[in-house]
Amino acid sequence: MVAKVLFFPVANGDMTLIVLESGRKVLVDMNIRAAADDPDDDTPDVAAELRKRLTRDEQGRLYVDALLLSHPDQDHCAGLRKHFHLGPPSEWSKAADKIFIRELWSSPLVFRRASSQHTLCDDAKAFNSEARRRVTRFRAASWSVSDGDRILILGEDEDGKTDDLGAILVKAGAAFSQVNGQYDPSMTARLLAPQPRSDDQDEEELRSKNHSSTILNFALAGDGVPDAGRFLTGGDAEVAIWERLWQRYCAHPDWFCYDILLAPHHCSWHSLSYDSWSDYGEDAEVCQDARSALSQTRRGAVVIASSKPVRDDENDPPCIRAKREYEAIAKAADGSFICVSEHPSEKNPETVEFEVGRYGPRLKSKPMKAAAIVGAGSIGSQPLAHG
Amino acid sequence: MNWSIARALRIIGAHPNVASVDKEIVADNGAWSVEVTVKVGLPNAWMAEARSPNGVRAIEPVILVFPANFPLRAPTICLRADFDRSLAHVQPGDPGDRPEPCVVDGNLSELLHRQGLAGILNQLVLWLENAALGRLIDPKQGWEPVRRDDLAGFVVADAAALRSLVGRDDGAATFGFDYLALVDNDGERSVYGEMGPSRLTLNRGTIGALIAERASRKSPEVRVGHSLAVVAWPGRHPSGDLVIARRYQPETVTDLGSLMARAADYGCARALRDTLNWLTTCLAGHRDNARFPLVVVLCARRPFHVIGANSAIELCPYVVDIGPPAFLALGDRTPVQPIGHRHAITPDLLRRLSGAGGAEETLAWVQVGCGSLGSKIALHLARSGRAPSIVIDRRYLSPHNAARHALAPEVGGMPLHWIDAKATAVAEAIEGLGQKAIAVKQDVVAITRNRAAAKKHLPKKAWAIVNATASLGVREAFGSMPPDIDIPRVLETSLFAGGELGVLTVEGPDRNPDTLDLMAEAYSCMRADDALRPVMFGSDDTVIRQVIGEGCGSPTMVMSDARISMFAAPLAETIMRMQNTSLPENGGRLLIGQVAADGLGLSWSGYAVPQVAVVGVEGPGDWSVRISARAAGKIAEDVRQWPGVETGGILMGRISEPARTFYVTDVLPAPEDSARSPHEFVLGTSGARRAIADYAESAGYSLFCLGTWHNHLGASGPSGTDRTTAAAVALARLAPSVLLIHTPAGYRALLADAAGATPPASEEG
Repeated sequence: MVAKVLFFPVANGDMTLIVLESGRKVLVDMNIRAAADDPDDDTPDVAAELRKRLTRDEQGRLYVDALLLSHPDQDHCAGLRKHFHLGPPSEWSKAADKIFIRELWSSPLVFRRASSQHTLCDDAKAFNSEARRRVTRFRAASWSVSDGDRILILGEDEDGKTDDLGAILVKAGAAFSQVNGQYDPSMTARLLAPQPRSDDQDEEELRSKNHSSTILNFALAGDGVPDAGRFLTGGDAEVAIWERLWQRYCAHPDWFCYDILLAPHHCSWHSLSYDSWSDYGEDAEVCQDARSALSQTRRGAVVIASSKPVRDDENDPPCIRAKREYEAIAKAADGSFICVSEHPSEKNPETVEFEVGRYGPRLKSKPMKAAAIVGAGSIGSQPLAHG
Repeated sequence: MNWSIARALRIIGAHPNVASVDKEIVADNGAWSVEVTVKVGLPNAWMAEARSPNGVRAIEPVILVFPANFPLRAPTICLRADFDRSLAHVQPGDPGDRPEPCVVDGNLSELLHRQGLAGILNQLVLWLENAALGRLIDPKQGWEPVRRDDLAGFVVADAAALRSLVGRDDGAATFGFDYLALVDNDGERSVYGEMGPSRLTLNRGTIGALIAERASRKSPEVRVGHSLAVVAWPGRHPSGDLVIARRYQPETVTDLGSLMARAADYGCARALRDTLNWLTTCLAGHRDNARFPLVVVLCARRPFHVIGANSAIELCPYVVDIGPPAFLALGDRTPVQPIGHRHAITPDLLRRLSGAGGAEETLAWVQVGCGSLGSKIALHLARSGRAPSIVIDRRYLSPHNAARHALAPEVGGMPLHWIDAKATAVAEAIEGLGQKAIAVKQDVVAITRNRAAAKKHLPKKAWAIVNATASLGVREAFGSMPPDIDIPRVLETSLFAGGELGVLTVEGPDRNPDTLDLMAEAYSCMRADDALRPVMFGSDDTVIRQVIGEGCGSPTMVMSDARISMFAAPLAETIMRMQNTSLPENGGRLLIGQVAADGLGLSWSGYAVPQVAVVGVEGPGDWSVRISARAAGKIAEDVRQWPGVETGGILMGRISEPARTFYVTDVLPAPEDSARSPHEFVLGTSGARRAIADYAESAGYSLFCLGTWHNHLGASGPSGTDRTTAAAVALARLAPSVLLIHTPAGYRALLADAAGATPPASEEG
């Protein structure tokens, strides 16, 4: 069996499905915009794309084995309430037919008070209350917790708030092979961030400004070969986070090593440099430590930008200068750079799908569909005048 | 270059894996060839090297050769000359020729008619990727047997009996071999024969009686004789593990030395050498100096079942000439030739292939297709004294036909007759029933394109043609007859959805509606019927959606002889009834039969299909539109509802490229945001895309959007606005579209086709 890593076309946002060789499915973030749910809109219907790739359990529920929210920004959790079941498993309804989340993967941020600088969107608030509900269930019932109530906390929180969560807590720097409470030999994921809370107020503020996100490096088995593919994903983490991670773990470059990198923060320049692209332009300097953290490539590595098409302009993200830097990183490994919104074409972006077999990851080719030839074309897409 | 090729080039250029299409289109004897570069999805690390370790490139040049009769026939796919020929699923060919990949198990032209050129390109990409990944041999499909390009005859043997010899230890056994030997003009000898059923014990005393050869009394150039066949099989490694031949190799055996090397690869060299040595000893005292063919069958144990068999043992037969006193005259250089294996027809084979796991005057009519359904219908009718006068089928009987063909092999002797042309075999059976049928062993598609052949084999004065080929290509050919060739009305019998559905279409007077109109109508009726739709379009094993690609499904549906008979009997009855009375006098007829859930009953729905309106289309390529009565009725009703203003809607149906025809089966109403005025109709968008997609999906894309219709209040043709819209519509899709205009003086139509609008590349220069 091959493993798969799929990037859905969600413009500036993230939505990645990892299908392990064991068949278990881990969804990392989502950005299911209202337009994607409108059949008359050209925005790809990513919810339908996701549902097609999931299976139903004995109770008829479509499910993911784990859902990771890298950080609580709208472009990483939009559509959560509309498309996913939240609340006790017993309240799942067939009529609503929402996707069932067997296990939630959350950062310890859910335990903190709402930040004055950062107001949460409704989907993020819903994620937090679901995470707290599951932690409460764990504290009350511990080992008897089952599908739909499970949670894994990725990283420790301040003041010992997470100290009693031993069995469901993964500490920064540790690797784990556990999905939905089960040991899964086809995956080992190393947690690189978030790092434990710092006592230094300035440091915490810097982290907060740098979009502290959960950073995981997945080692995936394919065709029975362990570690056949590596996938490094880090939400919106920006330069200071990557710089400090490299300073802390540079003795373990393998922890950063990847075949597929999801370019942080939708190909933002701020993940590679302290200098603003719009202010400094070509004079902006790359932070070498952050670059080191993001350039531990395996041969032929591919960097993915889950962003709008990258234009040569002042916008950031996505930023043309960041794209050039990632292309250079990929080129050094004879690899490539793919922007999800431009694949296979900007006009009709489709899910970017990698298959991880014994020879490592490979970008799957897209068959040409009947609809591409006998689809309605402009009929129904634009008003057509007939004289 | 014609428009079909121009459109094909646009589709190729639009394929996501096509990197480039060469501007230079080469014309050669009516065929067109174009070089295309294909992007192959390799693992990241190989992409970095731009090639796979076994030599498949990340960008592969491929030549597509379009035959003169494209799109009736599919293009040929050729790889670069230095592409590795030793891979599985490469077509046999000379080493100097460009290798042709076998991208589909079945007929490429059928794939073209089913899934279009895109389907062929998709398969090509998949094939190249599987070649790179070493996945051409798919365990689900089975082990690809050794490709053997040049065979010097065949041996008939009971495969199940030979395989049952193979156990945990290696060994060899000797059998008798009765044969015919032919020498062609070049002096090449070929051998055809059958292995005896029981193992022989050899010694110097018995061997003389086992070998003899003489000239045939009937044909002196044919030698008849009996000789020996040696079967050798593998055992275990010293470790105790079974010897399994895991490496795919094409046939390379040319002499005894290479045969022994191949036997060593398969783990049966020791057993073979011992047996050959003993034969040499036994023959040492043999006085007859003639030479005899000795058959050697090597058994290779594969990692999983061999394609077309339920066993992992592959049988590889060879023939070598032997003779005393030296036995093998040139030692290791004694020539050895591969020969084919033909199944002796066994109960095992039949069980497997059936999918069970086991008036007074003579009426002249033409039966096209003498396969399982066609032969039954022909013989049902022949047994009623209504045999066809002409039977056409270009194919030959082969052992798997015994599972479902109306004819049965005879008992006794070598079943050599079971390799005859189907048309000949059916004609002979008809002769046995006291009637006469002319057997035509030609491709009916070619006959439809040749005036003299059509006049002879599809005579206009015949009562009708019954098409039981189940071939989309044949249907398209009958639906796209050249204007100067007149043929009788066509009846088509087809089974669908693994034998759950049967269809009979009967063309109307003057072939209106014709066979393609009727099949479009059949799709339309099945789409609209809640009971038929899921059967026809809903599941994975329907014909329409049948997967030919990944894993190479067989193009023939697996079903039992009895199931075909369930349909063959009422179909034959209906045809006979029409022969005894008359063909429909108003319009055509469509019958759809469905097997009941209990598998016992069969319920039929009959539809009278009125004549279609045929409208010529303005624009290049001589296209036409055929409008069903249903669609025409809806259009007329809409025009009545909107007096004084122009109105319109969306056309649904099918396209036939060979016939250059749009078949309009239905119309969808104009979206709510459409605007109607006395001078203009603007087709809106609200909900339209979903409605079109839902419609096409519910018909498995057998019916799809064809374009638009609108009306003119006066008897005028296409306006400037219409032409502008046509140009916009053309650019937005790869398939041609049509703008149909309803006027008080009848219909007008305008072609919207970018392949026609943009001059093809070679014509620019």
